[in-house]
Amino acid sequence: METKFLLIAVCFALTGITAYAQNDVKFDPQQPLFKFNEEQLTNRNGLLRYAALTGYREGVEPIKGQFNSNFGGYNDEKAGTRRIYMYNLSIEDLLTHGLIKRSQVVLEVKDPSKYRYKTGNGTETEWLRKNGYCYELLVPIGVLKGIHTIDSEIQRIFKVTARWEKRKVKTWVLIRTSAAEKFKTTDQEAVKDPVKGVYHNVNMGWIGVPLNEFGPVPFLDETGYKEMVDLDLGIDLTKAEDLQPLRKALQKYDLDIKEEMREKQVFVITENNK
Amino acid sequence: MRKTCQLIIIALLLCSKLNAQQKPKIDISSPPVQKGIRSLKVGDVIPADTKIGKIFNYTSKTAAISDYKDQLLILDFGNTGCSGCVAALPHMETLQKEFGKAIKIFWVTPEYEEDIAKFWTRNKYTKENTLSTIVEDSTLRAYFKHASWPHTAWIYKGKVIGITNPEYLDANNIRKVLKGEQVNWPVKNDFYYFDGAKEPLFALDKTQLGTGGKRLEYAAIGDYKEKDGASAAGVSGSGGTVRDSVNRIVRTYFINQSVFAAYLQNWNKIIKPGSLTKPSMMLQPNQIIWEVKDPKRYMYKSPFTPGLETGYMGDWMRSNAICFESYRADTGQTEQDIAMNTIKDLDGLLGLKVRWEKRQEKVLVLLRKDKEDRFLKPTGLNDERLSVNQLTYLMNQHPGNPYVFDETRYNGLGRLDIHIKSWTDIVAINKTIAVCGLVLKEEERLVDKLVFTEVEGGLLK
Repeated sequence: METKFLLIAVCFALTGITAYAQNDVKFDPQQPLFKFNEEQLTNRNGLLRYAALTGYREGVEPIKGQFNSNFGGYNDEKAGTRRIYMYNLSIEDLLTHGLIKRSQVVLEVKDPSKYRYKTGNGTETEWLRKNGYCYELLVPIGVLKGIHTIDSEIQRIFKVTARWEKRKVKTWVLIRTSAAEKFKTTDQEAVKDPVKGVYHNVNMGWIGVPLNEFGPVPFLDETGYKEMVDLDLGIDLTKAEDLQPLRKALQKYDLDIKEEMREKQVFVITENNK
Repeated sequence: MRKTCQLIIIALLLCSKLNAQQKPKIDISSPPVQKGIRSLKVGDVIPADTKIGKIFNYTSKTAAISDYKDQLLILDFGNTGCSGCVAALPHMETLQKEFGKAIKIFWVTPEYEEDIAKFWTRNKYTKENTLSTIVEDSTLRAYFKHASWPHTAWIYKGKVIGITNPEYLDANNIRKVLKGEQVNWPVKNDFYYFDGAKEPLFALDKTQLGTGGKRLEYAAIGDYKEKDGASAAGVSGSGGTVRDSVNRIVRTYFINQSVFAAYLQNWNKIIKPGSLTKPSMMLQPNQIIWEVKDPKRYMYKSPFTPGLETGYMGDWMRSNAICFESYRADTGQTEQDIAMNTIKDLDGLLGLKVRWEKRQEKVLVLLRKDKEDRFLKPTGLNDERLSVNQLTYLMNQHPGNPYVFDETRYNGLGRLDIHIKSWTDIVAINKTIAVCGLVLKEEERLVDKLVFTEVEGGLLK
């Protein structure tokens, strides 16, 4: 997982130009934060570069790229520069680049609510106005060999250390509580609706997709059931932060979730004490 | 009659004393400049009828610019109080002799002829020197205004082709001009100065920034800054920190500095003198470790980096010097905090890791074999023989040499009657100093080194 994250991040850092939906006609994501003068634009010696962090920028949409990436890249061939940019993201999202599922991130920080939006803390936009940031890095084309430069800078700004580690972490493990196959499919048309919690004629593991993406902890299917299933959970699995409603919904099917400590590769963000 | 003669004699004496008193002293820091003369720039034509008032050590007392229309005319401005100017006179004489009638070099000074004449016969650089000197000058100085010396103006076929620092006055450049090659030397302009304290180097685009300014911090690097060929910050660059107490911002900047100098200045603000394990508190060449592809990208040849062959410093600066600016909220950072942030900013933007680091290394320790004083008494201030503490100093000037620590505990002024052929041949040095009762002992010690490392190849193109 760690390697896949790095590979995707590197590809985009070096080459990716992602599609971007613009709300504010004056703002242009392909333009840098600075109004360079003629001398700077000429960049005769190729030394022009900057790293900048700003607060939330009203009316600017976060980047939504492939594989859920949250950053964009732009080459200015005339000035010979490459710019990587991220808009209106949480600290967690700045560090994960949108490529790591929330359930795989461990926050070892005093106040996690400053790093990650949680449902119930007002709207996400309101939360981002106080806790969202934009970051951009501009360097000569061809010198960036990976995401390391950006990661180091963001970690330095926020005084955190972020790295992959094998840790024993709380995990939601899906189990069967009886041999009954109350969830066996009736062979309807296949449906996957994580918002309504409706899954028809698909593998059991599909309910893990939104839970791993948006849930607070990793999710594991240990039912061992290989056939197709029908589940009507009536719960928004993209916002399932509380275990109890999910357990209640699953218990109708003689399924349940137990919380266990399991060793997993997780992305740990730790506040530096110094 | 007798009384009349006496009165006349007294009057004459008074007059001569008055005349002598009327010659004002020349203030070298602000010598006279002829009014009504426009300063010339590179590319300008100097009026051909410009008179050269008084010349010392020449075939004629006066001349005109037009007399040199078929020659490369070089005017080197200086004065006898400028030791560097005077020390360069033999070099100028050599150039004059080498190129003969193709060029004419004048030393130009505002000082009185009689003072120059006296100086010329006494100083070791000017005794027997045949270089011509324009004295009591205020005209040429008006054409080529300057505030520091030496200051060199190059005029070829009536046109100003260069106004330079002394490093450009050499045979190589003279040959270039005489061959008809275009030259584009950095211009020495003592009056152009970009004030980074008043004006940021990087201007924010408010349209892009929008509401994001509530939390804003950046670090940015740009190329060497110049205007009409002249550096925006003199020869050695400039820098500073601005604290805006209204907006609670700290802005740090420097202009036209080598990457090496930028790091060194900031590390010097952080490291307490004497806290590092090295032979001298001063930076010496063997204290630097380069773990980079090409150190010449980061520093020019200097006393700290004698092994880097980088050509003219002015040209090097034009291609490699940087301007830097950082902007952060003022959280009460100390000068040391600011310096450390600058170092980390530079690391991040240049793909470097520059730090003082402990390394286990082979070192040499200079010791006395016994307490017998075999050192010679110095003969005076001009005694050019090696002193004991010069031994370690000179050995530490070579980048390839290990650290040499002086642990003789000798504080005298004693001299050594020895000749060292090579400061890197440790075996030979040891043999030579043995006669003075000294020995270099090899040891392993944990010492501090200034290490420049490119991370993943660095971020320079």
